Order: sequence, then structure tokens, then C-alpha cells
Amino acid sequence: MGRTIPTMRQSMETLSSRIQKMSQIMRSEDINLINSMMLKGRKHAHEISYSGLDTEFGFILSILLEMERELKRIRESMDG
Amino acid sequence: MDDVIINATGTDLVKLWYIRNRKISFRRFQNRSWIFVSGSDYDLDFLSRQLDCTDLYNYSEYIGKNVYGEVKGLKIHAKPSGISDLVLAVENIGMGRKFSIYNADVNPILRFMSERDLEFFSIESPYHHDPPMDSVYIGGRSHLGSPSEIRIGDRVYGKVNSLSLSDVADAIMDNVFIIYYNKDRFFEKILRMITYRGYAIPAIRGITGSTYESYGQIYYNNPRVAISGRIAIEAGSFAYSECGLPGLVEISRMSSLPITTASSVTTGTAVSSMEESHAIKNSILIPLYKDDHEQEKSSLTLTETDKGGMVLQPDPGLYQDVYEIDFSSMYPSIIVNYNLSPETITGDGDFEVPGTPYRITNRKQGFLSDALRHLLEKRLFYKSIKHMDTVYGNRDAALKWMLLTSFGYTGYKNAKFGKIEVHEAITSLGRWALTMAINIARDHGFEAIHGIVDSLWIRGTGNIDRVLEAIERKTRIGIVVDGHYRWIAFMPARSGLGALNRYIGLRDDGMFKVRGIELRRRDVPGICIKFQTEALDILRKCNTTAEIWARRKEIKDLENLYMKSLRKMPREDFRMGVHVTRRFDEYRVNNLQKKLLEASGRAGYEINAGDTVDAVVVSRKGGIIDPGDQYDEVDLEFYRKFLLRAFEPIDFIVSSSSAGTEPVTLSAFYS
Repeated sequence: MGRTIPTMRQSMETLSSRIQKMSQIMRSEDINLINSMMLKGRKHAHEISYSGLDTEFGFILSILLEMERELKRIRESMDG
Repeated sequence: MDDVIINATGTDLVKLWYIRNRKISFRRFQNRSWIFVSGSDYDLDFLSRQLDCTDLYNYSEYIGKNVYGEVKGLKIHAKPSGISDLVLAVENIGMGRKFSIYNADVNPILRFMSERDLEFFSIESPYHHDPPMDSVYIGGRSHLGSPSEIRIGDRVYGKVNSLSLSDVADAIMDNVFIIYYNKDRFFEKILRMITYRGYAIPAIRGITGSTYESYGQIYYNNPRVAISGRIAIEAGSFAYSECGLPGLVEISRMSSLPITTASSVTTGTAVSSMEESHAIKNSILIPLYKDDHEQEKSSLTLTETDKGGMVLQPDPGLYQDVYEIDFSSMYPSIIVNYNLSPETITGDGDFEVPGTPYRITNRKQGFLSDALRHLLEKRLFYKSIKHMDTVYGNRDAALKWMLLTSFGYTGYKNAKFGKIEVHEAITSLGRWALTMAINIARDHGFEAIHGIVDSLWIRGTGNIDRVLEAIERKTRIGIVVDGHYRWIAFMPARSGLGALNRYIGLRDDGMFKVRGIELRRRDVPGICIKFQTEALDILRKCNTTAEIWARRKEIKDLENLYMKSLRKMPREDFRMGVHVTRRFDEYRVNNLQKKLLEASGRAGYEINAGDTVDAVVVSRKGGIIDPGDQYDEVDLEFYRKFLLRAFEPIDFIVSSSSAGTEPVTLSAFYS
């Protein structure tokens, strides 16, 4: 039993931890931002796995999707 | 009532145990066996000449069939006890590569029963109960490895003395089924005391315990005891503890394994035994070594097909009016309904498995789908009537476990009838079915908020019956509403993302479905479980999120009460299960487990890797952990942290309820 290749979730965790290495030499205000982005990037791991997209592209897409959601929320709150 | 076979023992001479009106009788039968060897004509000719030289074995030319079709070879007869020697000889003659050997490692009892179409615990109708059998539970409690209390059935003896030991001896003599508790060798020690005092009991043989790993977890199998003329079952065995005696009987009935064997093997072995029995009944040869290697495939194909079940990540938060819909035995249903089997996955099949390059043929009945059909149908039957009787519930649990492992076995490297492509086709069809379910639910006005492999949580305003009907029609897999929740909270993981398996939901019937929180765990102290139970009792009264918010003060007061009265709690409420995964000398850090092993070693009490021991932490920093009652103190600071952690899921529900029906944001919760 067992998988031959890592799951999308595992791949994204690996990618996320590699990116987070940057935070060791970042300004503290940027660390919070990058942590938040990492969370956004991993949020849609399961959907990305289903689609068969590349890990890196899926990660970026996931961040964009969550940013779009935040923009929508801001726009709605401004309209309201 | 006719005689019913309840057990079988022996190898070359098989003794069948019959029961009739609670009376046991035995009949003995000669048991002969054979193996089948295939190879090239030249090699088979060489083998037959070698066999002629020895004059030890009878053989004949035979055309048998395996799952793929006819195979030509030699059928060599031998006593079951001599088959391993025969196999060794054939392998040596063939230099380990020239011959394919079949039917060489089948359990002799299973083979005896299957060849004669006999069944353990045979019943005429699935509604019938098992024949009445005298059974007794013998258990009790140990204190640091020494028996301190005995239980025979419902009767508890506070002391281990002549009276209680004499009653144990009588119970063994009066019953056929002995269900015994043998953690810390409890039962063995009791039997030793009985024998020492001169009470007459049947001959006894001890079987040592063992540590094993399954899905990354370390477990310990308690030592077992065989009692001559009795059927002795260890109460800690997985099958007995999960399904009770009726469930164990069902496993024996389905797998053709004697009940004592069925109690000591994994459910995976029970399923493979059932498949072997099905093969024997249908004259299909069982390979000694599996020869179905993974097909060559491109890395792209591997990436596409080597995936597990599909999951959706829930947004952490509190949701109202949610349906949980579950596919019934999804993977076994896929195997049966889509005719999946190693020999039906072909390049020119009629049906293309979505998301894979595999095709399945429907021109012939697949072995695996045929073998599992009866198991699946029976399980779905008992699932539908389990509310009528606990016996049906136990049978349902047993069959459910067998079905669960039937899928995993298709990917296991040593599974006789497994193939990795079948495994991949099953998971692929599972992902496709869940995707179809999400889309159909959406078309009917529902939104999926969470999904795990075969379960989907949806909310919306559509007609749920129509959704189920449409999904079942599309996927050919049964799907039912597992529950409707007045509200359900999906918890965040430490990362902040939604945890897949941490949720609390209140059903319409006032029962909670709880997963992943302290309440469900053994490795947390009783105070946490008590707190969460009381907190849920408050939340049980809340039908809406607004009502939860209205009761926030009650929850806060309860938390304060627990925090303040922590010092006054009974010592037993601080006891927690500590799971030991290795031997003392294998631990490199001074963690709780190592300290526990040290403390138990000093007390002369042996803990095996895989054991879970209840203990109280006296001083975390000082490394003092007490598996007995040696200390009065507890480490309050250590337990306060546990309690705070137990507050978190309850606090999350309350804080989420403030936002009405919408889930709160993670940043708001963690700020």
C-alpha cells in the first residue's frame, strides 16, 4: 500500500516551508504578510490536486483566488 | 435444530466441533490436499521425473484455471502438514523461478471447509440468531500487573481468593466460549493461581503477545491462551472489541476461518481468507506468490492515477441546517458495480475509468467483484435492519470492517487477488462519484461545505430526496442521509486552515456527532472529557447559532468553575492514557513515555511497546509519572494547559455563533 508520489497537500507544505525560509531574513511586518499568503496558497490544495495542475501554479492561483475574495468583500463593504 | 459446526481444529486429521441444543460433539475427518505447479512443458517434464525418483508424492497432469484463464500443469498430492516441504522441494527444483505454484499456503481448515462447501455457524436465514452457546466473560483489574479484582460475567469479586478462583474454574468447566481479558497477562496469572491451588481445569497453552505496526501506529496484541476443548477468545482482540461475539461469529462464517483464528487475525486477513474460500469453491487456483506486477506507465499517468480519495477543505466556522450524505460502502460498491478485478482491467474494455487510461471489460464477471458481492449485499442488508436487534448491529459492524479492508487489500503488494491498477481505478471512480455528487447537489440548490472521500456535508434549500435519487442514478452507488444537523462547527487546524476531521455537530435527534476533539481521545485526562461533556450538554439545548451566543455566559461560568476547582478534582480525573511505542532503551528523549517505563520498571511492572497505560503526571518537570497510586500530588500546571486546550473547540463554537450564520474569519478567531 502507500503512495508512490507525494499528495498535493504534502507538496504544498514542502513548497510553503521553503518559501517561509525567506521570513528568517525579512522585516517583521512582511513576515505576517508572507504567513498569511502561505495559508492562502495552501487553502485549495484539494481542488488543485483534483485538477492535476502543477503545485507551484496551483499555489499562486490559490493565493489569487483568496485575494479576489478579499477584494470582493472589501468592495461589498464599501458599497454597503 | 440440526448440528451446527462452530469450530474446527487439526491439520491432517480435522476435528469438527458441532453444537446441538448447547451440547458439543466432535467428528474427525482425514484431510488430504494438493498443490498445483505450472511452468513450461520442458520444466514440468523435468519436475515429474524428479517426483518419480522420490516416490513420495502422487501427481497427475491437470488443466486448472486462475483468474486470467486456463493453466496447464501438475497437481501434486500431499498431506497438509507436508505441503511446505513439498513447496520447498519444487522451488529448489525450479531454482526459484521456473514454476508458478498455486494453492500452497491456504489455511488447511479454510480449505477443508471450502472444498466441502461447509460453513461455520451456518444459519438458514440472515434474520436467524446464532445457535445458543454457553459463553462466559472472565476479566477483572490488575494493579501494576497483579490481578486485584475478578469479574465473571456480571459478577464482580473484589478480591482474588479461593472463592473467586474456584468460581473461575467452574466457569471454565461449564462454558464452551471463554471470553477472557489478558492485558498484563491477567488471565494467564489467574489460571496459574487456579492450577497452583489444585482445581481441575482443561489443559492450557500460552501464546505470546506481539507488537505490530499498522498505518503508522504501534499496537500490542495481548498474549493469548488456548484451552483444550474450549473456544477461548481474547477480549482485547480487534474483532471482538469492535463487533462482539455475534460479529466475530459473522467473520468466521464469511471467511471460513475457525472463530479463534478469526479473533486473532486482522480483518484484512479475514477478507483475503474469504476471497480464497470463494476461489476454492469456484475451482480457481490461488497463487502462492502474486505475479501481477504494476504495469509500465509514464510519469504523467502515474501523477494522474496515484491519488487517494477526494477531500474538500472546510472553511472553519459554524453552519446551520446542514445535511451529511454518505455513499454506502463506496469502494466495495465501486468494485462490485463496476466489475473491478485484476483480470477485467484491459486495454480494450467497454468502460473507461474517468481520470485514468484504464478500461474495464464487462464481457466476463470479475473475480474480485464476484467475491465481494455477497459480502456487500449482506452488509447493506444488516445496515438496513441493525436498529431491530443488537445482533444485527454486531454483524453489520463486522461486515463493515471487512468491506473497509477489502479496498485497501487491492493495493497491498502481497494480496493474492490485488493489483495496483484496480486500486487506482477504485479511488479514481470514488473521486468521480464525489464530484458528481457535488455538482448534482449544486444543481438542486445545495452548496458543499465539506467532503471526505465518501461523505459530503451540504446546505441549501433544495429537496434532499431528489438530490440522493439523482446521485444514485448517476453514480450507481447507494447514497443516504447520515444525518441532518441543526448546526455543525468545523474546527480550524493549528495551521489555521480547516481541519478535515475535527467537528462537532448537533443532529435533529439531539445527539452530537463529534470527531477529533478531546472528548474522543484516550490520551487526555478525564477532566477534559468531563468538561467537554458538560459543555455539550449546555449546547445541546441550542437549536440555532443565536441561541448558542445567548448561552455564552453559561459556558464561560463552566470554564471558570473547572479552572478554579482543578485543585479539588478527584485524582482519578487526572489519569490519562499514555501510549508507549518503543522499549525503554529506544527512547532518546526524556518524555512522558520514557519516564513511565522507568517508573513501571521500578515497580516491577512490564509495559510492552504498543501498550497504552493509564497514569497520573505528578511532576512534568521533575519527570514523575505514576501508573499506580504511589503519589497523592498532581502537576496542576500541566493539567491546566490540557484544560485550556479542551476549552478551545467550545470557545470556537461560541465565538463563531456571534457572527450569525456566516463563518467567522480565522484572523478574528485567533486574534
